[in-house]
Amino acid sequence: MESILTQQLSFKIGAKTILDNISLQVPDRSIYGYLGRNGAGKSTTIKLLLGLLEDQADTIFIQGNSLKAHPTGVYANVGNLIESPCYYTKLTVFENLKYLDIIHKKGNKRIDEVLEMVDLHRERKKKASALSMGMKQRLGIAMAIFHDPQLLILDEPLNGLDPQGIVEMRNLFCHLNEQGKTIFLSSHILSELEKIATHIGIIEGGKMIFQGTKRELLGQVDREVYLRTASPEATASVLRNSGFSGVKIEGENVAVTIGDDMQFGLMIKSLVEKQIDIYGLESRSADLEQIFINLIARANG
Amino acid sequence: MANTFYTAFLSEKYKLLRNREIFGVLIAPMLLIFAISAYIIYDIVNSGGASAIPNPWKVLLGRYVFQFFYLLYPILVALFVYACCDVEYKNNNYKILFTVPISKSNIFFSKATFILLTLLFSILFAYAAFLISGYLLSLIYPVLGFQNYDYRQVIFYTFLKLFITLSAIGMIQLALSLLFRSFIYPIGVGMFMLVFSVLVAQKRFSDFIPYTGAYNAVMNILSENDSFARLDYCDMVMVVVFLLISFYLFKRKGQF
Repeated sequence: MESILTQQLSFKIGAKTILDNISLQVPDRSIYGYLGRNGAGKSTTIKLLLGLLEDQADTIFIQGNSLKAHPTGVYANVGNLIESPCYYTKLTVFENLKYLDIIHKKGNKRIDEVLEMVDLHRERKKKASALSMGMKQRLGIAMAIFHDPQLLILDEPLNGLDPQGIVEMRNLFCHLNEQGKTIFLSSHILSELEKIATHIGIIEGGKMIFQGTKRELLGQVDREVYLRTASPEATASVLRNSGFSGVKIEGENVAVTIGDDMQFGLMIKSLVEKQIDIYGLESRSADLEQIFINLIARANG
Repeated sequence: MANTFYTAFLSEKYKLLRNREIFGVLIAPMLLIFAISAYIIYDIVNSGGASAIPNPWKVLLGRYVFQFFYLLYPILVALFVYACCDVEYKNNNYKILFTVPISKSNIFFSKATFILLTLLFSILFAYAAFLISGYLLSLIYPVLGFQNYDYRQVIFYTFLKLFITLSAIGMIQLALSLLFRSFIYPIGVGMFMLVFSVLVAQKRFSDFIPYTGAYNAVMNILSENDSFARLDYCDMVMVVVFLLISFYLFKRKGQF
């Protein structure tokens, strides 16, 4: 079942199309990384998913429920953090969560538990306005997860966090995911998304240009394999004769471009048949950042 | 979790009670009455003694208190109502408000109820302070004659009508505060209307301007007027009309 499902979601401001037939499919218990350049439509999508912008056509379904028909029911099971953290400046850290507790009725024990999770327990009596930027971000995350929602929608949740904070939040998201929560997050820190996302969606100019598992995305691009052999020249010659592209000798190594797993098998087979000894092998695939840039460039012709 | 008006009201109360402005509107009028009473005592001591005054509730205490009230109270209400909206403007907290599992109508009407209840308590505190001040003055200076006049009915109706006026002003200010994010506009319009209402208070059309009610409170206490007039009925209608306008503006706030 999909935690988030949109059926050709479109959104216009005046004559300008912001989103064009976006069909999001966010599987249950996944960590879905939503990528796009500035102005691509990420935040608009997220605001629509949370009902902060009105979807006139009723195309958004959260955990099987129509957002338009059952907004309050949907909100009971969704936590969110959009762009900058929201909190009441005149309330303390504890009071901000207490305010949510009045609505969700989870008890003071849950407040303590959440403050421990985001490492804010020592600041519980501090006014929210007196917190540092990173701590405010943590408070925003605490408020998003307070009611133990099944789905978290997070827009740039790592903004303002120091490297240690980023690692802690990454671990927290993984921990929540292990508990069965679905996490939909957008972030500009692609290296972090690459580490935790199970699924990726890429949006460009209001259109979805990729959606699938991270493995499917990484499989979309060629990877370079570096071979260390007894005879680089002979190896390069065998590979060229077998039809492999991008073969080049780099010192003691031979580099070759491999498209998929089947090609990789063929390469090994042809080298073994010609009795070439392989001493070492290193596979270097493009990272998410490179794939993202390539896909955006391809989408823009 | 329950999407009920009661839950919405409890959460709004918890959040808004931590605003300093609420204490301004609750306590300042009461403190003002006690300060005026202290000034009356100071004046008597300075002038060498008290002398009998015809109806001191009206001529002494009422005159001073309501002259301050008609300028002070609407401004306090405007500041308080703006503060109730400002908590949501800061950090764009409407994002919290509109993604909690409580309907917008419950949230809005709980906010409006909180504002009206605060105004009611403010008037009740001021009413009690007025009666206590008169009683204390009658004990300290019996010669003033507070105990000789039963002015309770006029005092009650003056405060009741002031409450209706302030409720109407509160709802107008709520609509303005929801319409304009900047502090300048709602407070500026409130101040302008206050001055304008004083200038046109004698005109017949002034009955349609709730801000005139604060000025009329002075007239009511001085002329012993305890009957409802067109202005008071207009104020009641204004409460409902501007409550509905504010609700429309609040619902529209959801569209960022």
